[in-house]
Amino acid sequence: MTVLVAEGLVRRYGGVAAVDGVDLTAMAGEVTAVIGPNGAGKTTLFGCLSGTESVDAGHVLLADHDVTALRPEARARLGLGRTFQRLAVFDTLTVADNLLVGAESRRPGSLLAGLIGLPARDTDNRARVEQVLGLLDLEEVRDEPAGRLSTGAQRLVELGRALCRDPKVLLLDEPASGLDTAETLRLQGVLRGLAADGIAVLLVEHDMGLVLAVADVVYAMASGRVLAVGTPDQVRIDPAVRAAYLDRAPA
Amino acid sequence: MLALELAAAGLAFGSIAALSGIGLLITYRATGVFNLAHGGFAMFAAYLYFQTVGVWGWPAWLAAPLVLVGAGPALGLAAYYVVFRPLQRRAAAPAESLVATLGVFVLLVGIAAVCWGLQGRRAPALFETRRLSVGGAGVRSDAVVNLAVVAATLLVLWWLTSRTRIGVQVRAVVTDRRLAEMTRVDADRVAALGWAVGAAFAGLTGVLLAPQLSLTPYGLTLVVLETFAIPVIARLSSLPVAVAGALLVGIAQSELAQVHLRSTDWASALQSVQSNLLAVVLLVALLVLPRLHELGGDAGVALSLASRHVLERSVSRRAVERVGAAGLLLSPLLYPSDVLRDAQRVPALALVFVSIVVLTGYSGQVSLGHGAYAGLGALFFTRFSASITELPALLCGMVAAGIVGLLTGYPAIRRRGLFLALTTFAVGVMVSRFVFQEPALTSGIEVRRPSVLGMSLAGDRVFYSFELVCLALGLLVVHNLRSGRLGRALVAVRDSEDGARALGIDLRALKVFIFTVSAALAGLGGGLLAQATLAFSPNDFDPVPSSLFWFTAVVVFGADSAAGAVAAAGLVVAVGAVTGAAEAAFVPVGILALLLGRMPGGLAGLLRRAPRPTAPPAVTVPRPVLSAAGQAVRARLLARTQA
Repeated sequence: MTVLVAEGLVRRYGGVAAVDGVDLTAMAGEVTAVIGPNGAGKTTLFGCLSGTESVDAGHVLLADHDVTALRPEARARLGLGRTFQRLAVFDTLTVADNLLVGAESRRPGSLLAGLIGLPARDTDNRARVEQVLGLLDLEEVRDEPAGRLSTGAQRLVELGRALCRDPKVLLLDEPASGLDTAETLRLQGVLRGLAADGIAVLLVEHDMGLVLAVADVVYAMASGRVLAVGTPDQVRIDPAVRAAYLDRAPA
Repeated sequence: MLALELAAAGLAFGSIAALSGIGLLITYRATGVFNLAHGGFAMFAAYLYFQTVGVWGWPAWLAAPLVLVGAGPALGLAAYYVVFRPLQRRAAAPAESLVATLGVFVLLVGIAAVCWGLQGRRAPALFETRRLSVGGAGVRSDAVVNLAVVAATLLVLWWLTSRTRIGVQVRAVVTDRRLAEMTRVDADRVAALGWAVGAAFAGLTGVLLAPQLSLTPYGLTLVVLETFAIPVIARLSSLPVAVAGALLVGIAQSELAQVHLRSTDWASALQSVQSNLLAVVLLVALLVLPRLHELGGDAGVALSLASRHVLERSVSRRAVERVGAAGLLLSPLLYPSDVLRDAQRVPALALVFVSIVVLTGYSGQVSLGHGAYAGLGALFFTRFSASITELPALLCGMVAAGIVGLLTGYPAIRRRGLFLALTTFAVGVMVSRFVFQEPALTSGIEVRRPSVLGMSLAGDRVFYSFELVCLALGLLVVHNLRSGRLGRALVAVRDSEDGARALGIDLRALKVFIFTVSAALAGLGGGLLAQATLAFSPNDFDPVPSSLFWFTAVVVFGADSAAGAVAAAGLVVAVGAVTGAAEAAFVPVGILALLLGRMPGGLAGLLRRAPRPTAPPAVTVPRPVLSAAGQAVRARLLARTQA
């Protein structure tokens, strides 16, 4: 099932099109990867999909809703989860509370009830947090303030936080950067597991090893355009992709 | 002909505003610090001139250079070397520098208030004002002189920035301090120069302005602070725009005086606008302009003011703290009644301070206008209590202040850092000028204390107990904002807006909600303050001794510590009571604010022995020692920048 669709996305900065007519789909149960050299427009594309960047032309469809005009928080409420290349954990909250904020954000709570201190029935939220802590191996650091963890662990906290919200599609911006080899291997397993659970996983990644190991579909980008789409093996041998990576004009 | 004469008169004030704006912009562009102490510098220089010429009888030709060229720049240099250089060395967050300027401000106002008192003084004029005739129109000589000073200043600045080495260096530092340092530009010297020149202009502003007003520590200062409008019009960047804007505002203010309206209501409204045009321009510009050209990127949220501790603390320690605090707060019930009467201000002020903690410490939004909400709470309460009984009136006052908070909090959603600080300040000034200083709204007010369930609270002890109940309820609300689901969401937004947004948290709703709650708490505190003193005194809610001082006091005691806020209220009231002058508390608070750079999280942060801040340690850039090859490259680079 198609969860996230981009149709003819264009995003210009001045005269330069950072994203130039990109079409992309992410299917439930699949890991889709976007690769490309620096400046290819991957992060801008991510911004357009998650709503932090406005779009000059084209549409973004999320679970059949046109979300092109919606703000990031509205897209999140429709089932879009994301992590950040530049970390955005809640530094002073513990790891467990970071995840709890994610779980609690599934249902909007009453601000006034919070103000007068009505207790919230949040057992299922806590259960969800426990589940995700286990899934990501974060139990040991559950009571540590997230800001004091290593970069790799903070990436996992962000991932966990997004997972607690039960997203339909998960956008991961360079999830393996800052991770050591063991952590990356662990991440591979987690990502495959998430896809098996029916989540559409979309990642931007520099680590080709990770992409080749987990992706079902790879989009190769350069200069704001999609050069090639296919399985990792197909994309790897695509001449246009090879040329772009070797920084030569395609033959 | 009248229009021409009015325009000329307007230029006199407009050029003073221009000089103030130039000073602010110079400091800001050279150092990246928006100097909230500018009004303090101006006021202090005016008092020095008053003291030397007016009291000691020195001749003006001796005193003027001493004050304007000596004392003014010296103040700026002292502020730089003692306070701002250390902050800059450790690459402190812009919010910290902003609070440090408030510390300098509060200290200067405090010293002036203690030395010269709060009563108005007649300041001697720098030079005699004569009437000149220009083409048949009468023009005051001060307009001509002021304008000439502005023109000369612009000329000199233009020559300095475009034709000299120091000008190139300033531009380099403004563009990128670190890069400039790497090419061996002495950023220190540039910053020191920025402070000295900025302070000199502040001093000139104060000395020129003082004779036109009554010289008081608060009044003159506030007028100078209203000239923030000038750099804001220029979006913190263009000097010519600032000067043109200042002159236009001056002319407009003058011309408005000859507009006559038939309806007396509108006429008095117009008169208010005319006499407070700078404040109006400041607020309107801040609401209309999409953004300012802030240096160093976003001035950030107030994050760096909080101690950034983790929520949970040890239960036993918390219990000890609470019992101790409760004991201290209950102790005034045993005091003799005159001391008790002073102590009655504590719970009321504590509620106001706690409301600032909620906004700044918990949700990371700066507010330099909380005096407005407290004052509105007091005013609404006194107005409502004329028609309904006092207790419902108190609640209505609180709700009304909350509604005003809701309305004014709305523009705050999109603003952060310096932009937000200035906007809230402008709101505070507007409310003070247009509501509290309006005799029609505030005269003839009689304040009575409420009765609850038929029991009168008029007695001092029973009223103090009632205040404690209110404070306890307020602290309960604050506790709820700090714990549970709502508390987590608030901290999440404070820590990372992007992260919170990605979870679908409605930032706008949350921010406006917090603004409303904070304003309502401040309103309750203000209402109690009026009842404690049995009077509504507009001067209590003047932005200088209320909004600006209160915010500084709260940050000094720990922006995210409710207990710190209560302690701050206790200290402020106690110092006032012991010395017999409320303004004496400015001095310790100002000094502590200057030490904030060494105690992140304020006094509460020190006491908590907070874990080290989670932000990466600030890096000081060592002056690079260049190899011979490096020096050759640098020489080429320098030659190119100067070409």
